[in-house]
Amino acid sequence: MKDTKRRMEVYPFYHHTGIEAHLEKMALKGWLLERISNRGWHYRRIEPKKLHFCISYYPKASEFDPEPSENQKTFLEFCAHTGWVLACTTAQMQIFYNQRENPIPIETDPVLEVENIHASMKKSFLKAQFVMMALGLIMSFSFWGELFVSPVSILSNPNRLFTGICWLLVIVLSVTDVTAYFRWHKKAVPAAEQGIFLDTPSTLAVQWGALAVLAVSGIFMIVNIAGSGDTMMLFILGGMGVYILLVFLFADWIKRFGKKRKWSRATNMALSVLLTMIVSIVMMNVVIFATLNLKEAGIFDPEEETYQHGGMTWIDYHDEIPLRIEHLTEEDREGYVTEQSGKGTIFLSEYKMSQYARFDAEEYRDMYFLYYTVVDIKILSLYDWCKEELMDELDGSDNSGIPEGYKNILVETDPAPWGAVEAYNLTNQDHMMETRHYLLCFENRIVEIQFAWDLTDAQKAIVGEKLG
Amino acid sequence: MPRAKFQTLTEQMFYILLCLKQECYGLDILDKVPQITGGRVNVGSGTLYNLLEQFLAEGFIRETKVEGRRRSYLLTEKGKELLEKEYKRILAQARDYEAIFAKEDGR
Repeated sequence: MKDTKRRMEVYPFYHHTGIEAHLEKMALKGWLLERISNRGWHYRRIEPKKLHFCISYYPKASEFDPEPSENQKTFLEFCAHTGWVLACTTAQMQIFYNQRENPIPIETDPVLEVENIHASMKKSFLKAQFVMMALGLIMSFSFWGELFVSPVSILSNPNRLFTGICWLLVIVLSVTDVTAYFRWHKKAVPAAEQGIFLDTPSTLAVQWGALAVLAVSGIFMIVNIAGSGDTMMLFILGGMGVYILLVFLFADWIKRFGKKRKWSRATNMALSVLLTMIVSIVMMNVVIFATLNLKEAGIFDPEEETYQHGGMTWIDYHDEIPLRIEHLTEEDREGYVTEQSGKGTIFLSEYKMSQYARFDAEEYRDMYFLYYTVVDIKILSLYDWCKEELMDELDGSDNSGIPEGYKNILVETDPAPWGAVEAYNLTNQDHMMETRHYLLCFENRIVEIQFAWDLTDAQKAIVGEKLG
Repeated sequence: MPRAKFQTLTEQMFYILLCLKQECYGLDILDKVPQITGGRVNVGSGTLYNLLEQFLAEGFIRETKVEGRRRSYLLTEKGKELLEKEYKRILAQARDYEAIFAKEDGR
């Protein structure tokens, strides 16, 4: 039977009434808190008993102090005199327990208590929350901007979607905590003047809700990426997971190491921040270096054949694709590469597929090519938004620097031969000459496709049958 | 609107200052206040610590002895004035109470 255990608790810094009640329940179950670190709350086994807990905030303390200051020790002596034993400290928060039946509380003046909580909040928690809020807003602004401009590439990409959700959760959590705190503080000040201790508010439901959303979207992302067979992305995600964990552990370790070595507060703070940044940069480079080297070594495409051409190594993909050149022509030559890549989520999927000649094929220059992108929209209300983006992208493609009148523009064409609902051709404004580049809209699928030759209606029908 | 600090004293502030009419260690105040008040008033250790710091900063008390972390304090003239002002305020309150209830009893 283990005598220690570690739990992840999600109490905000100011929520002392919630923490006290929680620790009292833990003591009744036989667990006493002895340390709080980046790795969680550490408990040790005790005889189950009723203990009273009290949290006092000491604004002059710091997470980086090598030991309590002389004044803080005096404070602890005062507390010990009334039976309060220090369980642990974290930043300005000091957690005490008392075995007496009806102990005198540490704080008997609510005005002073509110002042100390507020001073401590201003020193650490609020600053951190505002930084997180600003970071969350900047990153979310960038995410929503990209989503607005390129809904297809964002909504089909599980890791981009996950990152967007993460930043959104950062905003939700920081705004919830800061708002809950200020609302409490606004009421607590006048209440304290009347001699009333106002219980601190709980945001546990939001915290656990956010964690649940994070876990579900994380699992969803991993399942999606694993399902797509993108081993490199899985490796990068695994690497990033280990990276974040190690940086987190290192930050905790270096701070504790500094405290043990009795570094001053300023030294410990400066070295902890500096060394954590260095370790973080080094480890990020290790992940990038490892990914690039493994990719170079072909670890992520172990079953693919490679060939040499022009002093470079090329992969001879043989992916299954729904429409092939052989379906449309009499073509039966060796030396074609068929490649498929893409991603999908519950909203939509985007797969790019292509068939082209190997660079070392004998008749390389005479061989056909086929490029197409298939976007499947799983939530139909997103259809028009995605169609608009794909049309805008195509309409604006290859037009930079080309004067009006000579650009390629999308022109509606007869969808019937394709069996599509709508069809568009990328047409040259000059003489309104059609190109071999189309956008085909089916019921819940949009296909952008390019051919190397002019298609007959029969060939168009095959395209509609294979891709529609 | 928050009350101006030390404009009036809370019971705890009053009794801490009262204890310091005689030189006294900080820790001893924790026991003296309930003794004086027959257990009616208790001062929490955190509250005492913070109030001693504030009284020192305002010059209502002064440190008389420092033995390691044990410090003793004594009321200053400024502190005595504050205490007296509070005493007079309480007396005035008591007089007002008596005046009102004396009238009622006489009726």
